[in-house]
Parts: sequence; structure tokens; C-alpha cells
Amino acid sequence: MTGRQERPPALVLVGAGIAALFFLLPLAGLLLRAPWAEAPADLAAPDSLLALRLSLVASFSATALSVAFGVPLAWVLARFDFPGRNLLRALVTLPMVLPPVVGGVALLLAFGRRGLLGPVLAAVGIHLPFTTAGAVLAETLVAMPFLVITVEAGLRALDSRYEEAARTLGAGRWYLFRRVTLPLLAPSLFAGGVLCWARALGEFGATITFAGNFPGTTQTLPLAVYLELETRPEAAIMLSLVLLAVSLAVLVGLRHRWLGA
Amino acid sequence: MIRADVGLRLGTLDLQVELEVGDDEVVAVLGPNGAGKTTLLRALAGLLPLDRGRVELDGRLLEDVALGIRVAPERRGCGVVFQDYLLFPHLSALENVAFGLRSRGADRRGALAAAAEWLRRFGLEGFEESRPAALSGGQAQRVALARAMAPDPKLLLLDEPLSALDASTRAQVRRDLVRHLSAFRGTRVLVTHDPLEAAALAGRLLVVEQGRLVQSGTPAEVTARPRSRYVADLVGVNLLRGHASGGTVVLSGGGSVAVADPLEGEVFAVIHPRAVALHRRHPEGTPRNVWRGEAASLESLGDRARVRVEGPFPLVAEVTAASVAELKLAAGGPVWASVKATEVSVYPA
Repeated sequence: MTGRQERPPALVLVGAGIAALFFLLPLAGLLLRAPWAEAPADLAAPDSLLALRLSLVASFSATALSVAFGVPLAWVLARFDFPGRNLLRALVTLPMVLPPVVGGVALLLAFGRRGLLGPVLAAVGIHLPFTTAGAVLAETLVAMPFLVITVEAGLRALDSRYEEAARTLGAGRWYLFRRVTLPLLAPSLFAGGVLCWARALGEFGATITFAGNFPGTTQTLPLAVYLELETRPEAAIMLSLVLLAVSLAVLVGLRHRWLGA
Repeated sequence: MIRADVGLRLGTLDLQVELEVGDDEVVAVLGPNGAGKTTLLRALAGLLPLDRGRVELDGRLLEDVALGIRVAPERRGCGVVFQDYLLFPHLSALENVAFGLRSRGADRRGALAAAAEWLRRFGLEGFEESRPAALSGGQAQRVALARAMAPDPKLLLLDEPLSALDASTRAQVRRDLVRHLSAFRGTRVLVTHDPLEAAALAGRLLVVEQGRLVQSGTPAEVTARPRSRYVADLVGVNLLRGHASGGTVVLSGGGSVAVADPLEGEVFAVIHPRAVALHRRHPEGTPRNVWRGEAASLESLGDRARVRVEGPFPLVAEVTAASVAELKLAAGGPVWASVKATEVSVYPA
């Protein structure tokens, strides 16, 4: 594009300005009302550090699980035609629109002590509810759909003739996937991974319902924020800022590097 | 050499083509868009399964529907140059050429060294690290050719190898392509809709229309005796078909043509547009063929013009610009077209 840009119509400008303010004000509230003096003490508190560590561990675990199982699922949805495909796709995206609390209740009914699979898992010594593994599972449920739909769209947009060209050059399935499909899919996979991770980091409803709120094992940062808000609001603000900083750093930094904005 | 009997349906296309190509020739499959050329090529490469038939390359059975045998494309040993090259956008030119060597298990260092040698042979020294997006059309074409040839395939398939290039580079790339094709030891088949490209690159043409092989032969043979409307239009002659008997060809679509050839039976008759004379009144003299028609359309070719005459059958006449003015052909209206019997060439259908 060369030459001068056209000025947007006034009505559009007003609308866009209000929307921008709407996003800016809460952020300003957090930053202005933060008790910066007590910040070091609040952040260094064992509970805060535990929650931060758990949040990072759980969100990255959930992302890893989502990649491990979500990519094959996206593959099947994008590349194979079978009866019930649309139903399966709707099912996969359901957690995106479902209130997370409902997801947590559903997880309890599936993996809880008296749930569908609970007794079977208990028999082999696996207890998911109210454990860190449970928190990871809850985050995976709500976050994986973001990865699946992004990767599926990426697979659909991928020109499969490159894969044909690779086959005529002697590439077997695995070599083809590693050297052609995966690199061509990388931007979608990365974008999906970031979205998935961000959603997992912020997850609250399903986690607190299915995994509870135990410091060190299931109390992630969002849960800690909620808890502290009742007793020590200043600490809640600082923890919120930590969440904000981590999210922003990852989203802005990596998106620009990988997707070239 | 390749021996193939290809039968497959794809959408509205019903492809049924038999071909045999030796290693001492370059064969071009020529046909209009949608004739099934690319489908044929993809079937030979194994990218489309046959519904019927078999493919045999250098005596090795690649596919036989009746026997239930089908060798996967990655095991066929076919090099393919795709229409828009399909160079891997995330790999450098060098890695693109090395791809087929490494996929067959060559070690990285050896494959890259061999690929560098291929790039040098194709005049692409200094472009080793270039991504495909940074290459010109001609360079990308050479990388694609080097990539297809590097793994030493038995069969080289080229799909419209010059169509992605602009006219200014096409002639040069075509010369290079002729050279590289002649250096290739193996079977060479290319597909094109451009008769000039076909004649420049190949010694034998296979004309395919609507999924069927309609004619084969050297470019000279094919153009001298067109066997389809498509080829006749490419050459720019009037092609008629009918039954010859006693010096007259009765056309299947109505009308008849007097000929000098004593051939009998089903024939093609070709009339060059320059052999057709136009008149506003019934011509005097001896021409054996005179038809009455309407001057339907006029196409100017500088000092000459092509006039389409709708008579007992459609006929194109090529006349001088002077006669167009003299006969006021631009206005259309009734005309008489005459052709000497000796100007009609006839050959068996």
C-alpha cells in the first residue's frame, strides 16, 4: 500500500474508541490500584510462588496433552470423511461455548469416584479428582478445542499437492509428515498451541469444580486470585498482574516472532 | 520404457488411454483443457488409482487392477515436474533437490553434495540457499527439473512444463529443457495443451481428447493429417468427415465434396482455408465444388482475413484483404464458396 490512508468514518472511530477504552480501563485499574510497595513481599509469599509454579506446570502439561491428542484428532477431522464427522466436530468445540463449571461437573461424573470411569481408574490406583492431574485434565478439556479447530483449519488450507510431490520423490509416511506436512503446518500449530496454552492458564471454573482449591496441588493462579480477593485484595491484584504479565509476554512476543503479525 | 493401459473415471471424465513410450523418444500428450492429460500423468505416477488396466515400467509391474497390484507413488521411481513446480516453500533450492535423495535414505552430507552438483549442472550455482519464493519462474522450473531428476528415476513426467512462465523467458527455458530432456536416460512423457511446445520438445505426439487417444505420430504427421476438430483447429484447416465413393465424399453432417483421390470408404477430407475462393455470384469456370452459404464472421489477419461461411457445412475461407473490400464481405450476406477437387486432401478415417 502506498499513498495516504483514508480516514475512517466518524461513527466507526467512536465505536472503535469505546471498545478500546473498554479493554484499556480494567488494565489501567489493575495497574493504578496495585499496591506496588508491598509487591515484593506479596509475590515472594510461598502461596503465590506455589500457585504460579502450579499454573505454569498445569497449563504447559495441558498444552502438551492437547498437542499429543488434538493434532491426530484435527487430522482425522480435516482429512477423512466419515459418518458423524460433523457431530464429532460439534462435540469437540462444545467446551468452548459450555460454561466451564458445567465442564467440571461433567468431568466429575466421568472420572469422579462414582463417575463412569472413576471406579475403573481407582482400581488401578489412579485418582483424578482433587489432584494436580485433575487440574491438568480440567484445563485440557476447555483448552484443547482451540488447538483442534486451529490445526484443522491449517490442515484444510494446506495444499496437499506438496505432499503428493513429496511422495513422487520417494517420501514414506513418516518422512513426509516430518519434512513437509509438519513444517507447512507449523504456523497453525503454533497459533493453536498459544491459544490453547492461554486458555489453560486462565482456566477457573472446570478446575475448581473438578480439582478443588488446594494450595500446592490444585490451586492455580486464577484460583488463588479469587481466594485472595476475599481476604487480601492487594495480593489478589498483584497475582492478577503476574497472570497478565505472563500472558502478555507470551502472546505478544511469540505471535510477532512466529506469525509476523 | 513404459507400457500402460489406463482406465479411470474422475468426475465427468472417462479416461481410457493405452500408450507405449520407449527410452529413445520424448513423447508429448497433447490435448485441450479437461481432456484428461494431467489425470493420465497422475495415474502413471501412482497419485490416482486406476479403475481398470495396468502400468508397466522397464518390465516392472507398477499397477494391475485385475491382479490387485498397486505400487505406491513413493516406490515407483517416477520423477514428476508439476505444472506450478510445487517446490517446498520452507526448504532452500538445495534442500529441495536433495529431498528425493534423503527420503531414500541417503545421508544428509552426501545428499546435499549431490544436490549442489545438480544445481551446478542446471546453471543455478549461487542459488543453493535461495527459497523458492526468491527464484524467478525459469529458475524455479530448473530446480523442479533437477529435483525430479536427482533421484535417478526411470520415468520422467512433466505437466505443462512451460505454462507457468511468461512469454519472455519461455523460449530460453524451452531450449534448456530440450537439452536436459535429451540428457535424461529413461522414459520421458510430457503433457501440454500448447502445440508449439509439444512440437519443440517431443518427437511424437499423442493427441488426447475427452479421455480418448485420437491420434498419434510425429508433429509433422499429426498436422498433415488431423484426425480431430481440435487438431484441425490448431493447424487452422477445415476438417470434414464422410464416406468416399467414386470421387465424391458424402459428409456425415450433410453435403458432399468432390475429390481427386480415388479412395473409397470412411475418410477425412481436409481443405486449407487458402484453397477456398469466395464469390458474390455463382462462379463461372471449372471448380468441381461450389457451395452457397452466408458469410457469418470475419477475422482480420493483417493483409488477409478469415471468413466463416455457413453453408451445407461450416467452412473457413482465407482471402486477401482486397477481396474482403471488393466483395464487401464485412457486411455478411450470401456468398458462393468454391474449391478445386485437387485441393481437397483425403485420407482414411
